[in-house]
Amino acid sequence: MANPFLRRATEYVRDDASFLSIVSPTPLTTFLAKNKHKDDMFEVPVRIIGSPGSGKTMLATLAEFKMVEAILRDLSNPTNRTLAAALAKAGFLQSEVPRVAAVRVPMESEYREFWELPYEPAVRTKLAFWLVQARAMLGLIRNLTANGTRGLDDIRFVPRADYEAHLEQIGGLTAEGVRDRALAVQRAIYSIGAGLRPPKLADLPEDATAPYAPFDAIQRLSMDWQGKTIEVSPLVMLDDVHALHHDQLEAMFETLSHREMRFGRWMMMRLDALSPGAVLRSPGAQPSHGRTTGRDFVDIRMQVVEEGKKGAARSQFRTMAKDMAKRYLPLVETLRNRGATDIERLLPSESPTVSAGQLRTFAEKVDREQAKLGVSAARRAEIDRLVADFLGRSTSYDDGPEVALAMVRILLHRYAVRIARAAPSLFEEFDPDPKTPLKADADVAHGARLHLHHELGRPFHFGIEDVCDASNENAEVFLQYAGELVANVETRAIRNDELPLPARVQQNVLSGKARKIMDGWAFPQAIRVRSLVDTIAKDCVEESRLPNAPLGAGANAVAILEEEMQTLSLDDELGTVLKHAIANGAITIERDYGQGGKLWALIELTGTVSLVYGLTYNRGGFLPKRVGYLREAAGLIDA
Amino acid sequence: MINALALNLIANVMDWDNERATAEYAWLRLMSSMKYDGYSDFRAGVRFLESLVSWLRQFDQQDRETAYALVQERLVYISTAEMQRVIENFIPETVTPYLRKAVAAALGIKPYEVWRTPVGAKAFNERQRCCLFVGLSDGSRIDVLRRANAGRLSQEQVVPMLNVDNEKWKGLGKDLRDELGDHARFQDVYLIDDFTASGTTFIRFPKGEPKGKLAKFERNVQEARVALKDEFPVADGYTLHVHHYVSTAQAHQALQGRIAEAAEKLKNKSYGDAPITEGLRLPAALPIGAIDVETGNMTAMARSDEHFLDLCGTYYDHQLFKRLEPHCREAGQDDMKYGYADCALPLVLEHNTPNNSIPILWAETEGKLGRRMRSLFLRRDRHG
Repeated sequence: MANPFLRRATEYVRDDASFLSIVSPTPLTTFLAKNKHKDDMFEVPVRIIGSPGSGKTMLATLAEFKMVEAILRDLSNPTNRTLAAALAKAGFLQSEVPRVAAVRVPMESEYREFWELPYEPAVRTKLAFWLVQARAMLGLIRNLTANGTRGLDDIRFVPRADYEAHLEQIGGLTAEGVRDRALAVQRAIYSIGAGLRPPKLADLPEDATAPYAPFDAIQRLSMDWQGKTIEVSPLVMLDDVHALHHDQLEAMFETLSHREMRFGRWMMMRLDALSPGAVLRSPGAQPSHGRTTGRDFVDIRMQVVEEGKKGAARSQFRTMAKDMAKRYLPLVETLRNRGATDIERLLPSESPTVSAGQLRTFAEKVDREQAKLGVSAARRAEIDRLVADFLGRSTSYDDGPEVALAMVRILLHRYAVRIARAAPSLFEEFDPDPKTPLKADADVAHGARLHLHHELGRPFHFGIEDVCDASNENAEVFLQYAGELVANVETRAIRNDELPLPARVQQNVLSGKARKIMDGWAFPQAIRVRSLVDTIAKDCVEESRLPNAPLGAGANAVAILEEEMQTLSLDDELGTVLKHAIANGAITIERDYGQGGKLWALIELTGTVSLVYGLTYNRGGFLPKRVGYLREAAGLIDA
Repeated sequence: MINALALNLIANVMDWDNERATAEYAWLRLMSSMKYDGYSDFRAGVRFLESLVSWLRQFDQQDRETAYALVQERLVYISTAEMQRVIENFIPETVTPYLRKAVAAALGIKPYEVWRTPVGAKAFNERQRCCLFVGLSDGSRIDVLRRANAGRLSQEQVVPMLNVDNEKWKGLGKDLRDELGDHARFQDVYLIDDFTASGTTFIRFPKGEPKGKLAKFERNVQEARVALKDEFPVADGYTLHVHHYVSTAQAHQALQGRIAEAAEKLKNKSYGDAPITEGLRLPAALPIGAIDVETGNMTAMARSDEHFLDLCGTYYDHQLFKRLEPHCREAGQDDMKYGYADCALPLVLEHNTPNNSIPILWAETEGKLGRRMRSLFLRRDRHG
């Protein structure tokens, strides 16, 4: 098998067993099991929102009934046990018995074309919605019978109370009746959408116009499960609904959000299907049809977590990403043959070094700067001691002499700045103490490593955790970075070299890949997004390279005061640019970020951009800016 | 099982560092699995990557990058699947439009109206039945053509070989008459071959005598016509179509000249018009060089091809020419550095490499009169 990390779209893995062997259950626990609306997810409509590659389709494929049944059939398999545990946590199972019968309906096919038919919007919506319902019913029955463990006779549909009148139009309660009716509806509606010329409204086939509402009528399913009869909740997962026309999506959402409906319905969509307000998480930005998040529907975001919990998200993602790597790595034959299947050993975080010549030159530079700043030898000795004390206590292994020297340089500059800012004394002071004492801490050390990266080309981004952090909680981006690194490790295996990739190679590979990703941006507004992030990144680099490292680890964000951000009109073009930047992994946004007694909208560069420009992944270092700055940076000033 | 050993050897032979090797491995794996491993003349246990190792080794270290670049940037390999596509397209994209026009002209309607009426459709089907398809070599893949057109073409209008004996002619005629009536004759004959690079061997007149595949076919037709009289199934003045699945631009041009020459020189020729068609015409810029008409020297097609031409000149064994001397002399060549008829093609077909391709791709020699040559895609050579 070719590098499995570089394989896109798990839905193309045809064989269930192959799919189960590579799929990671962590998205289930990360995004569903820990969701505060977990209990409502099978009753109210759920919008599962994520950027491309965040794992929406993989999640839906894993949750389909036939896959759940395949997992439960062999719990002696440790992979299956792990997956079953995750499914149970997400509410799909209880005591190793399914609670939910889910079916995935891809929406990328012809549904969008119904919006182009020359009928009233209500008719167009109905046609597409009935086709969705028919396909969902057929898919459901196919899922229930896929593993050959039950026949059509072993399945019965349980109607909602008072919905007896609907039974005839859905084909009754038997699986055979429901299937035949769904086939008739599908055939009739398909002939309308697929024909060269649409028929007149009056000539539409009867099967396409007669009432058909299985989602309204059906509440549960009763079926045979290992000799017993069990009842499960039906769930339809509409995958890639962003492929629909915007108005069609709104209409579809409205139809699906009837409160009385008991058929579970999930809509998996990309971020860019939402309005700029919703993507930017502006207060009051809601779908336009009078529904309320949390009560009438649930939103699950597959990347950006609840405000203020970004650190937790990063840690959760690291677990998930390492789990994926653990499953994929043994599939690389050359590495498996050498028993090299531990990603952490292959991408070590071992500290990089600089050459003796570089170190000497850098030391001379620091000495020159000390002289230029007028810092006394005694003060320098004091700073050297501060740094040595800190590195002695530090738990970081990245504490080489060049790091110490770069820290000293930062503290020398900080000292000079603090003395210059102090009120001049009436008396001449020699080697005065700064008002705020100098401190060597982890932030200074981090800033020092960043300076070394820019000054001496010392690697800054390396190790599996950095790869995880570079991915901004996006599984596909992680796989792209990891895939590129694994390809390099594989080359070493082929050439019988030492397998672990040195930090310098990791840095080169990651930066090169990030550049390729950025060069490949071709989404709407990509030119403006590129201009925006380039400007922000350059300003952040300039700030991060200041010799006194005022932000410690450096900046990777700009922030706009919330009060100003909220004046941004929802239909402002800048909003659209920001929306596409967020939806396609160029920036992230955090609203109501508290700093210095003020609330900010924090616009952070993603790991990909940070890799290209050599910026920190540490969160929180930002440059305060105005909306006008963003407008100018995005090239909208004359727009 | 991946070819770790071959990949390792390639990187060593090329003296690549690991980063370069990683980038190249992705390409090598993709191309070998999608295309090159399907070459039918690799030896047992050897596929593309193994062949590439031994091929690269024959070059001096400083020339290996050029040799590798030739493969990566200039080599055109037509795979089994691609050849299958051009064969499948032959009837719908070459024959059908021609027949539709001919039928339309006969009925006095527009070509797009032919299938509008049962009369038009019937006339089309009858005219299609009056086409005879003749394979000129193994490469014409008559078996594939038959399968791709099952239900469209009759088995009795497809002949796999050029040499049709009188009994076969009689049989073809009887089946045609049984289906369409006593008056029926083949109106169109398609001579089909897989590939032409120079177009010079199809028909030629050394010492004034006709030679080549067309000459053979014409002789066969003339003899059969005399022997079988009214039983001979091909109409007088039939249209002779010359179809190659793949052709170079140079060959297309050369064929036109040769067909015109044949029209003048063949005595009492049996056919009327002789259109030339092809499934895929390769671009005129495909060869790495072309003979300068004034100087007679080979000049690079593009500046970037100069290194490749140098490579062909340096890594050459004149034994190659000696082995094929009469054949090459006929094509006006003094050496075989750039392939037969100096076509200088960087082309490989999945079932064999044409001798018009540059010999550094296909030649295997002992080095008696120059450098010992090792092939990347070994050519099975009917000329010895």
